[in-house]
Amino acid sequence: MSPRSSRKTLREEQVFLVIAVIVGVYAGLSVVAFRVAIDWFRLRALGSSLAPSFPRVVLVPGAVGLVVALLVLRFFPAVRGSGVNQTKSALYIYDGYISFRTVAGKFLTSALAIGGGQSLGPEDPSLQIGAGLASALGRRLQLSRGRLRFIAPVGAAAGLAAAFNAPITAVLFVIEEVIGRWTAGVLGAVVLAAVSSVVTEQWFLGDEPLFRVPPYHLAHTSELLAYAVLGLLGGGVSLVFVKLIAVLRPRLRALPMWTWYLQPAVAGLLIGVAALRFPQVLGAGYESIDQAMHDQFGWRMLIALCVIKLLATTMSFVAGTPGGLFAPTLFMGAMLGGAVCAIERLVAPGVTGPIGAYALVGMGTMFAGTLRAPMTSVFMIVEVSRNYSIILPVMISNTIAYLVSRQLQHVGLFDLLARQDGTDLPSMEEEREAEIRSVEDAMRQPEPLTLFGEESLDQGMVRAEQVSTDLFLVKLAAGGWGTISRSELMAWQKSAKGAQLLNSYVVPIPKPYLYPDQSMDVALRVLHERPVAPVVHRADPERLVGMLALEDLLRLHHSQRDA
Amino acid sequence: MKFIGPLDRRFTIGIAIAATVPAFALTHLIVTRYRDQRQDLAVEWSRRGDRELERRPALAVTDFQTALSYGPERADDRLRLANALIAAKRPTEAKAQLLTLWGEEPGNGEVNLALARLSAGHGDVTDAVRYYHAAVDGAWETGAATARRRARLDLARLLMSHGQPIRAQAELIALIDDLPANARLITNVGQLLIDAGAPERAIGLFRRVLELDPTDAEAARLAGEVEYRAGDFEAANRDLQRASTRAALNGDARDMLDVSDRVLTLDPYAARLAARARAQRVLRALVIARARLVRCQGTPAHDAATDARIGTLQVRLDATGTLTPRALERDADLVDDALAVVFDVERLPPAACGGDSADDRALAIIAGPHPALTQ
Repeated sequence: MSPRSSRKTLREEQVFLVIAVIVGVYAGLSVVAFRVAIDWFRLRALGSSLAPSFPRVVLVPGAVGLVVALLVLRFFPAVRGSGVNQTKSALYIYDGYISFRTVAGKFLTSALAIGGGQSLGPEDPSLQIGAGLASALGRRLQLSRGRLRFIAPVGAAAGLAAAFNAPITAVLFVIEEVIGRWTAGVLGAVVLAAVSSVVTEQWFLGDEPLFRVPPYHLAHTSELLAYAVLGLLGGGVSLVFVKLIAVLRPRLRALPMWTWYLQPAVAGLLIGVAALRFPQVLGAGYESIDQAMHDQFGWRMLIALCVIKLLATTMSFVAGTPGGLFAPTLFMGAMLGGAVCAIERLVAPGVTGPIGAYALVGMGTMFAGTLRAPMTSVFMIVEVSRNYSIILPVMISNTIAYLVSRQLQHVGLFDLLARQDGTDLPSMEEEREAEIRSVEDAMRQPEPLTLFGEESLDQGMVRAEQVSTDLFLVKLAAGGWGTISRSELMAWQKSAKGAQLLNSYVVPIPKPYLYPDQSMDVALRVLHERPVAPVVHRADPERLVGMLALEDLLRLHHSQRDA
Repeated sequence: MKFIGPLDRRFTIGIAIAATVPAFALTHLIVTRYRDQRQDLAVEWSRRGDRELERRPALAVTDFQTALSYGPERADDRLRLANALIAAKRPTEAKAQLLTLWGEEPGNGEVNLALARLSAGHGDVTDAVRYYHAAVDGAWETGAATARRRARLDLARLLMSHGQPIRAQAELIALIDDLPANARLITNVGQLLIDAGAPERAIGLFRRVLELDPTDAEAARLAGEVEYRAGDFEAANRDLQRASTRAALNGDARDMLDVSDRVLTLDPYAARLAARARAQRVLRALVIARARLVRCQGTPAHDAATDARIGTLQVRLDATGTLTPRALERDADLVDDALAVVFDVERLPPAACGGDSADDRALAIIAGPHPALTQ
C-alpha cells in the first residue's frame, strides 16, 4: 500500500469515527424522544395509576392495536417485529439501507403500542431507530458500500446503548448478534457511537441505573445450587417462549390479510382483560421488575406474572405489533428469579440471599436463553445494576440457561424469525459454534527424510533413494527451510554437479512459516506463494512439526464435506 | 454510487454537527416538560400516600409505589413506602426497600434506624445492633441529636431484653452527657440504668432531674429507692419523704420509707449520737428484740437447732434485763454486748419468727450485712 493510499484509508477511518459520534448523538436524542413519547402516550391513554381503571385497561390496548395495525399495514410495512433482524438485513442484504420512513414508522407505531399497553419493550425499536438514523446519515454522506453496510450496526449499538443506559451491553450485543466479528475499525465506531449516545441520553435523563438493586451478598455457597436451578428453569421458560412464537407466528401470518388488521387488536384486548387482575403485564413493565426486586410479590404472584407476561408478549409479538422483546424477556426473568428465591426462602431460609439478586440473575438467565447472546447477558446484568459482585451467580445461571435452550431449540429466536420471513441471514450463534479447523488438522507429518544444506547433491540423492516421496524438505545451514524435488536432484546430478552442496541450489522458503494453531485462512494465504510450507514449533522455529500443501487443505475440506 | 468530494462531505458533517444544537434545544424543551410532569405526578401520588398512610396503609403502599415509578430517584418516597409497608404488616418487603436505600446511602441514619427496628422485630440481634450503631453514627437531615438518642435508647432496650446488660450500660452511659434538660427523658434513662445494673450512675441522673424540678415525685422516689438499696438511708429517707409529699408511694417505696425512718431513729451507731441517746436506742432495741423472740417461740415447726438457738438467745436476753440507761452510758462494752444479742435475735431467719415488723427489719439492716446488698 502506497503512503498516499494509506493516508487516504486513515482519513476515511477517521471520518467514519466522527460519523459514529454524530450517529451516537442523534440516536441518543431519538431514544430520549422515544421514551418521552411512550410515556406521554401511556399517561394519556391509560392514566397515571399503575393499575388503570376498568374501561381504560380493557379498551385501550385493543384500540391501540387496531390503530397500530392500520399504520403498519398501510404506511409502514417494514416496522413489524422487533427490529434486530431488520438491522441485520440492512447489513447483510440491503447494503446498509434502512429507509427514513421505517425509522419514523418504528418510532410512531412502537410508541403507540408500548404506551398503549401492548406487552412489548422499547429497546429493540430503539436499536432499529438508531440503525435507521445511521443509515440515513451514511447515505447522505455517500459512504462507500462497505462503510454504509457497517454504519447501520453502529447506529444500532447507539440506539440500544441509550435505551438500556448501558454502552457495554449494546456494544457486545451488536458484535455478538449483528456483526459477529471484532475488527478494530468497526469496534471503534461501535464503541464511540454507544458512548456518545449514552452520554447524550444521560445529559437529559440522568445517569440513574435502569434497576435499583438492594445490596447483594451470597448468603451461603450452597446458594449457587439455587442459581443453577434458576438457570435450568430459565432455559426451560425461554424454550417455551421461543417455541410458542415459532409455532404461532407463521400460523397467524398464514391467515387472510384482513385478519392482520385485527390481530394486534385482539391481542390487545386479551392483554387488557388479563390486566384487570394483573396490571403489571401492560407495556414494558419496568416498574414491576423494580417491585419484584424489592420483594413486593409473593411466589404465587411472581409465577403468575411470569406466565401471563409470557403469553401476553407472545400474543403481541406474533400479531405483528411493532415492539421489542428485550424488556418482556427481562420481566419474565425477574419474576422467575423472584419466584425461585421466594420458594427457596420457604424451604431453606438460612441460606437464601436477597430476592433482588435472584430477580437480577433471572433476567440474565431469560436473556441468555431467549436471545441467545450469552456474553451480552452477563455484562448486561452487571451494567444495568452496576453491581459487580453478582457476576458469579449470573455466569452460572446464564450458562446453564443458554445450554438448555440451545440443546432443545437449535435455532435461536432471531434466526428463526429471519427464516420464517424468508431471509437467510447469517446466524452468529452458528458461526460461533462452528468447529474451527486449524493447520494442525490438515498438515501431514514431517517427511521421513529431511535433507541438510551441508550435504552434497550426490549424498542427497543416495538418501533420497531410500524413500519413495518426490519432494524433500531441506534444512539450510543458515537456518530456515527449503524444498527440493526428486526430479531436481536427478537433473542436477546428471549435469555433473553432484559434488556441490544443497545449500547452493535450494531456494529458502520465505518466512513466515506456519504454526499448528493457525487458521485455514492464514494457511491459504501462505500457500498462495509456495507449493508447500513447513509447520514449525512456535517456541523453536527450527523444530519441524509438519508440512502443509494445498492438497492437504483440499483433502481436509473433502473429508469434512463427506462427514 | 455517486462520488462525494471531501469538501461536500465536510460540509454535510458540519451541517450534521450544527444541527445538533437545535436538536438538543428541542429535546431539552420536551424533556424539561416531561420531567416536570413526572415530578408533579410523583409528588401527587406521594401526597396521596401520606393521606392514606394512617387509615389505609395498604393503599398508601400502592400510592408510594406509583410515586416511585415517576420518580425512582426520590429516596424520601422509598422511605415512605418502607414505612407504609411496615404499617401494612409487610416487613419483608419493607426491608427490601430499606436495603436499596441503604445500598445507595449506607450512612443514612433514618434508614439504619428503620432497618434496626425491623431486624430487632425479626429477632436478628446482630444485624439490629449493627444498624442501630450506624443510625447513631449516621447522618440525619433534621433533629439529629434526638434521633441518635432515640436510636441509642432503642438499642439499650434491645440489649437488655436479650440479656446483655453490660453492653446496654455502655450505650446508656454514652447517652448521659448529651441528655437535654428533659426531666421525663432523664428519668427514663435513669430507670434503664437501674435495670442495666448501674444504679450509681442513675442516682446522678435523678439528682439532675430534681435540680431541674424539685417537685418531681418520680425522680425522688427512684432516687430514694436506689439510695435505700445502696444503704444511704438518710438520703433515701429524705428523697422518699419528698416523693411522698407529691404523690402516693407504691408498696415497696412506702415500705422503704418506713424502714429507713426506723433505721434513722434506731441506729445506735449513728454518727454524732450522744451517749444518753445511744443508751436509749439500745434499750429500745432490746425491747424490739424481746418481742421478736417471743414471736419466734410462738412460731411452730422449728428444727432442733433453731429451738436451741432461740433458747440460748432467751437466756442472753434475760441477762440484759437489769441494764439501765446510766450503766449503758458509762460502759461502752455493755452497749456492744447488748447490741450483739439484739442483732443475733434479728438475724434469726424470718421463717422462724413469722412476719417481721418495720422495726425488726430496721434492726436487721443495722445488724448488717445489708439484706439488699446480699441479694
